[in-house]
Amino acid sequence: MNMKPNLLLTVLLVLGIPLSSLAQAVKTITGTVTEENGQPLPGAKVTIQGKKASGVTDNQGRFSLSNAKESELLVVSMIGYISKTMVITNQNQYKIQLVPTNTALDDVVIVGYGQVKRKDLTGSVGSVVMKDMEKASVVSFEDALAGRVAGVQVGSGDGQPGSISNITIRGGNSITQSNSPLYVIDGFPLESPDNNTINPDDIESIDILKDASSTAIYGARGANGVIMIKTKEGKVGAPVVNYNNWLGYQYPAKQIEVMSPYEFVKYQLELNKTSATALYLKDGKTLDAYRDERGINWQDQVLQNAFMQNHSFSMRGGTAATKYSVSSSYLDQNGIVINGGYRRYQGRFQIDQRLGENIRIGINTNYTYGIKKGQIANLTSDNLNSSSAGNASSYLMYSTWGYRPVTGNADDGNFLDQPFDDDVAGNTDLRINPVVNSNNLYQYAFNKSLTTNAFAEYSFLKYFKFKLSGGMTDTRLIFERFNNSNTAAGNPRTVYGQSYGINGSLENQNIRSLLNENLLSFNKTFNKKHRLDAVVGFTMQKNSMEGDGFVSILLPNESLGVRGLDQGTVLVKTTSGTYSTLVSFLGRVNYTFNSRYLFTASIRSDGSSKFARDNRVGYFPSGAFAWNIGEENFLKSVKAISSAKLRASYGITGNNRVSDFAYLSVLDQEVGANTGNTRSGYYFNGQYIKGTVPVGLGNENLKWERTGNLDLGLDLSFFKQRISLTTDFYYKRTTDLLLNASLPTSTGYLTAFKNIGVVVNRGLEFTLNTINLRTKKFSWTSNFNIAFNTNKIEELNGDQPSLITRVSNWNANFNNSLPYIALPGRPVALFYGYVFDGVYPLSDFNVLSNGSYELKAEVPNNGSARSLIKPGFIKYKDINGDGVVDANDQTIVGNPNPKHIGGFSNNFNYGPFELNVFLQWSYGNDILNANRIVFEGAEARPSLNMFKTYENRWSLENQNSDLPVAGGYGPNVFSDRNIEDGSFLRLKTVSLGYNLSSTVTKKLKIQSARFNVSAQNLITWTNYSGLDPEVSVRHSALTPGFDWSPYPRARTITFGMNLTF
Amino acid sequence: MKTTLLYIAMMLALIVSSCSKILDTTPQDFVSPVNYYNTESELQSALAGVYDRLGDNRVYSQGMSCYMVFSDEFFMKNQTSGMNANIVDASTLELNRHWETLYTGIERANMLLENIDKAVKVTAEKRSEIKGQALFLRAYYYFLLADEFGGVPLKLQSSKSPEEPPLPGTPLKDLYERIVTDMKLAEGLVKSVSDYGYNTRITKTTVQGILARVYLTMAGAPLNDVAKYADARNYAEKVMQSGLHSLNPDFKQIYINHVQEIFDTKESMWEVEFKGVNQGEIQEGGMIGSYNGITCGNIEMGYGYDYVHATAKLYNAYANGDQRRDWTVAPYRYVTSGQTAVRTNWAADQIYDRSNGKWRREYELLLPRNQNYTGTNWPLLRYADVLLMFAEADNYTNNGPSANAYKAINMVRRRGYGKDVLIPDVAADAAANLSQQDFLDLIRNERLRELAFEGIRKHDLVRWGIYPSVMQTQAREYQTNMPTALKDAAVAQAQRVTDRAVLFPIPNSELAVNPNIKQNTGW
Repeated sequence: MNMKPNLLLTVLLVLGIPLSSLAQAVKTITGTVTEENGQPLPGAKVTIQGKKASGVTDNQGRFSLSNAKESELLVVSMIGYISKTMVITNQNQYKIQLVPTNTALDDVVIVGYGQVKRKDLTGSVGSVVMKDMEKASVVSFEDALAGRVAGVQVGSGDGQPGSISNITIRGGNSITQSNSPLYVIDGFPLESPDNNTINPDDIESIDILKDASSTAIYGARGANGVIMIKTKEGKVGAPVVNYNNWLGYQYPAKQIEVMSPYEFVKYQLELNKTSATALYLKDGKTLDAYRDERGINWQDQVLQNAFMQNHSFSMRGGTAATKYSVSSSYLDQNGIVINGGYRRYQGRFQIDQRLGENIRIGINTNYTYGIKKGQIANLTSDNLNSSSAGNASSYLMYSTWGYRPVTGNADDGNFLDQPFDDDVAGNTDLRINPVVNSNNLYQYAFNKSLTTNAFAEYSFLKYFKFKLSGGMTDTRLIFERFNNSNTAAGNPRTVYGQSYGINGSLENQNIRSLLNENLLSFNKTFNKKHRLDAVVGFTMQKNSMEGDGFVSILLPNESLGVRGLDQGTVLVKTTSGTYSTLVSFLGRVNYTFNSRYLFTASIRSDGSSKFARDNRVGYFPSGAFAWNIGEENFLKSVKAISSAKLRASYGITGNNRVSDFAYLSVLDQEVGANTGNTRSGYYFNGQYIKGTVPVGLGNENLKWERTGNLDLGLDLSFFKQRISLTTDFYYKRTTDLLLNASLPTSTGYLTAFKNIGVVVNRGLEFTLNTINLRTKKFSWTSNFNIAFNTNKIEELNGDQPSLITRVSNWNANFNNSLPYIALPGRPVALFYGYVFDGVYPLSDFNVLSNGSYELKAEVPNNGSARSLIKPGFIKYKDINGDGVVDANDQTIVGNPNPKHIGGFSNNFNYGPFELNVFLQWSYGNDILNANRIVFEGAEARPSLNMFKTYENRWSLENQNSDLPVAGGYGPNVFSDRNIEDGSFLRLKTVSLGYNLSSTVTKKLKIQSARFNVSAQNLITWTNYSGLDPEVSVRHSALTPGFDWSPYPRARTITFGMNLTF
Repeated sequence: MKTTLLYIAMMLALIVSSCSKILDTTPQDFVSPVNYYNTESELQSALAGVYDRLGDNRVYSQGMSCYMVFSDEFFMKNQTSGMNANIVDASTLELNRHWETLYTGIERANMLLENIDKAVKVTAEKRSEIKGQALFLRAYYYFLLADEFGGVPLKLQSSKSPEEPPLPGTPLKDLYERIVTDMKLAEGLVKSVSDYGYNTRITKTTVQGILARVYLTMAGAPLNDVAKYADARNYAEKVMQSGLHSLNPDFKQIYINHVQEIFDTKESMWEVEFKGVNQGEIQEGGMIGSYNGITCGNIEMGYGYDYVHATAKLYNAYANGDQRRDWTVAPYRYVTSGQTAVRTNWAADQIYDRSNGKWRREYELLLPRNQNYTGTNWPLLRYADVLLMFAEADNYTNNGPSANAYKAINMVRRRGYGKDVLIPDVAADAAANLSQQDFLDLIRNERLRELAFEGIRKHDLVRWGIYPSVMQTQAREYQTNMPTALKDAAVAQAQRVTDRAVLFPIPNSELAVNPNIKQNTGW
């Protein structure tokens, strides 16, 4: 539909000169500017070409211009829309519809210390299409970020409310250190903010800086990519008041089927006939009688449908001199696990004031109070103050899946309320009722976060601007825990409860960052062809953290809860504090010639207190060149191509994710448990003397980790930007890795920081935006992106041949099995273990005279002693063929890194209806499903329920199964039996919206009203058998894709209303 | 314009000059070695850190009382996985931790020894006393490493940078030479036990007794430097002549003293001091009596994991009248029903069902008891051991048992029979006129009887060069005579002691990043 007016325009333009030569009378014209669906567009700029006169549309999209003449050209433009030019006729009233720019070449992209139009961009910057993202009703923008921008991998560990996602841009550079990007929120750089503190409704734009040309300006912190977040500002015009609300339900997307009472008892009898008979076949009860029992499905008891609501209110507006924005929001998300959830109260205030011609000042303040409640599903609930392993049965999902469905007694009804399973609970094998435990746990994490940024900008000498800004973020985290007598950590029958009685803890952390920035910029166009835009700056930042806390035990008054901690005995008390400073100089020059040739060069020097004096300062240069080849005559003539740009950039960026004083050796005094290399202190004749011992080996030579980053890109658009394609190839080589390197332990230390090792990431990214259909009533647009990354270690810690890693604090029985390996020439993490070879069939055994089975001499063992192996036991491949299965038979059994990831977003508009369908996927990554290890036979504890899949285990009656016989799991090792394909395609967001027509809204005296119903995580197509394929608990670069007791993923349905007054 | 630019330039200059100041940060919550080791309390605190390693779970609190010292005196009941089942390879976590723990102890000692003379305000005498203890402990940790792993890296300076090249293994002979040199140096620096009145500090006679042990080790496998028997005899004799030590007349009282934290400095020359039940901020309890104690499922009565069980070989090694048997091998267990546990005797033929009975939790004074942790001390050197070492060394140097050797062993035997140690006793005394070999066999069995479950048997079997053969014999014995319910696991545990098992594998945490060290044979 665009073609016709444009054709007309061309014709008129050709005729323009003679027409304009005719003198016409001056008149006033008025009109309205709307979107295609009739929605008024406030803030659009209306000008008459060649004249100074201009206007801006008001809230109803209306404008009025005097001084217009017939046959002059009326230009209507607005960011985010394709500008429209039309000829002024004899009419005085105009209705103008603007079409959104899908390719958004005129969109402003926020880059480090500045902003540029997308068409002038030399680097690789991905922008989130906020209009699409807003369709998802989410707590944090992180929850909706996955699949939005090519090359940005977003993984939430599991479904825990209020948890933080793992975001990796273009593959991880670091092996032992964090790979998370730098966040720059309204200009404030932060390395690991809690993004739950940002109300997604406040976000104006999210731009992701990916290549060195755009990230090198952040120097030592830029190597992992930068996420630029800008919050909404006030716009000139009458106040726009917006109320956005959604409420709805979340419910568990999936349950894992566990054994029914009959299957459970049958399994118990196979496991230990004597004790199971005594427990379950009392008073002549038969196994078959259990077929009729429903038993208790503990997942039904622990999981719930949870209500969720969000209210967000904002008022924005301004005059030419003053622009303001205030907003506040309230969010309440109940957890789909009982007694947990996330709540947030938030407010933001922003003002931008012009003082005279040359000075602009502003302030932007946000305060968020977030409350997380409930047990962290993948950590044990029974430890007092840390994340170390405790009693396995107090992992949330372990106790939920494993708690038995029937007791064998008549009074099963009480079973729901009893804190412990008395029949099976010895002192070493205490089973905690997951419902009672969850309901009684008091675990809160409070986050009070204040951010303030202020600036003053002085424009002088026409082309110069000096901007002075200062900011502060102050985050106070408070952790409160209280374990009453009905919890795993407080009940006198548990190991903890026995030692510590009723107990609890309080912990405070204060994290502060102070920033000062001084920027001088210059912007001038010479001779119409040369545009020069430069910025130099000096910044200082100080990050500090203080913490304190204590654990209090043997509390006399249970009823007082956490406020009664003062009455107990202090068990552990901590105080800590650390800080670092960063002083930087930066500069960047953009030079554009004739809108065709674009050059960018930048440099930053960072001085960081994290390194010893001689290694403090690092220099991070970058250069980029872009060629708007579409402007060249030879392509201009190709009608199909509407724009084309070639980009190339190279630069050096750094990574400083190392503790503040890693270069210094550390002496410390630690009391505490009898294990660990830092523990110290000793009794002499009953007198305790605290030990002071070296706990950290410093390295004076530490310096920045450096990443050389090459990017080659091509931006193409066709058919008047109906189709636009962005392609990037990148090659990142990270050297001098800040590696928390293993040391030979004969040094007296396990690890210390060294600059050693090389990691390479390279990949391809494609982003395709298309307008598939556009008629008067119906339109369909889509955004598709896909990214391929390969990650390779070129060199590890010197000659170290490999690095094998255990999943910390998982299951003490598996302490000697390390499921991850990092090998030179391969990706940073691969799964490592034995190769599953089914189970030992009867034919592998000789039958002895007493009827017992003896493994034939030529058949290898499975890692256990041969005498322990019976028919139906698990079997592993003897890879080296030495007849013995042992640690030497381990090999690479899986790859947790996806081959490609991406997203596909579609918008359908039909009259007042809008439908957004967003799909997201990950392909080719493996997951280690540790739940299946435990619940398909490995943890053969009596009366522990198993997954339903284990019903098909091997037995003399079921010899075709490859699931080990009851009690036949063998040694506690990892194998490819539990490595699963984690590929998935997820229908992540579906949102159907309805806009009230302007006639109705006029009657209601509101500007616009939109209603929508939206769903998250509606369907997931995957072969993965676990709760959800997007899982990575205890995530680190070395241990991705581990699934253990994850918080179940919620499916969310919300109903929303968005009113603008 | 000029003034503005000038102003900005001046601002920048000012800022730049203050930069380096901003970047000079100092740590807030820890001290650096350069600022430490100045006062006596700082030195004592550093020394406590060196001692601390003895009490780690992977040293004497747990591992070295059972799963790290598999021998013919016990098996781990029904343990089929991990180190509890004697399954060991270079990646075994407990083994890695054990190695790390000892080497952190060595590093702590190195730091202290390097810095101690910075403390000029502390008297030279005090510094000597501290230096002697640190020097001895470092040598003792090397002794444990040499005994368990062979020719390990010898590091006598603290680490200065993670970029130092990894150290190669040291020839075993050189390692022992250094151990002996340092211990002898320490002998002259440390004080006498009479100066302390308790036995958890290193004292002169402790150093001498351990030197006897070190020399006996050198005299045996794998060094077989038989000249060292004379040194062993000499050092054992020094202890005997010190007049500071004697046998406790009551065998069981030795262990009750350990449980009740009573220091008997005469019999018990050196102990690891454990205290408390890990309830509270300071957690210095050990697992003696719980991990390796009498089977009991009730915490109030004194929980005992059902792990360390006596072998028939141990039980049958005691002759009638030897009172050590029914103390060492518990004749009863606690049968738990509901919230109570009842002491119940084993039937006469239930030998393999019996637990280690040396440290009995019913004697604990600190109540309520904790499931895992006890304040029970662990004996590292007893006078009885010194007497037996003397007899063994003397038997070699003298080409047969001398009267003094007989006297030494008979004192130990008479005490075991509840007799006066100085009065000859027909039932208790060793047969007269034994050949050199027969007397050696007697000593070997006497050491089994006297020192059972004290973590020394494996060490003895290794130095006598008979560890694998004895254990394979045990495996066959279990196969034939053990009750079916216990057999499979115990057989597998004993079978794993093959020739390679005289040494542990060098742990992965060392091997993977130290190209200069070689894995032990067979691993």
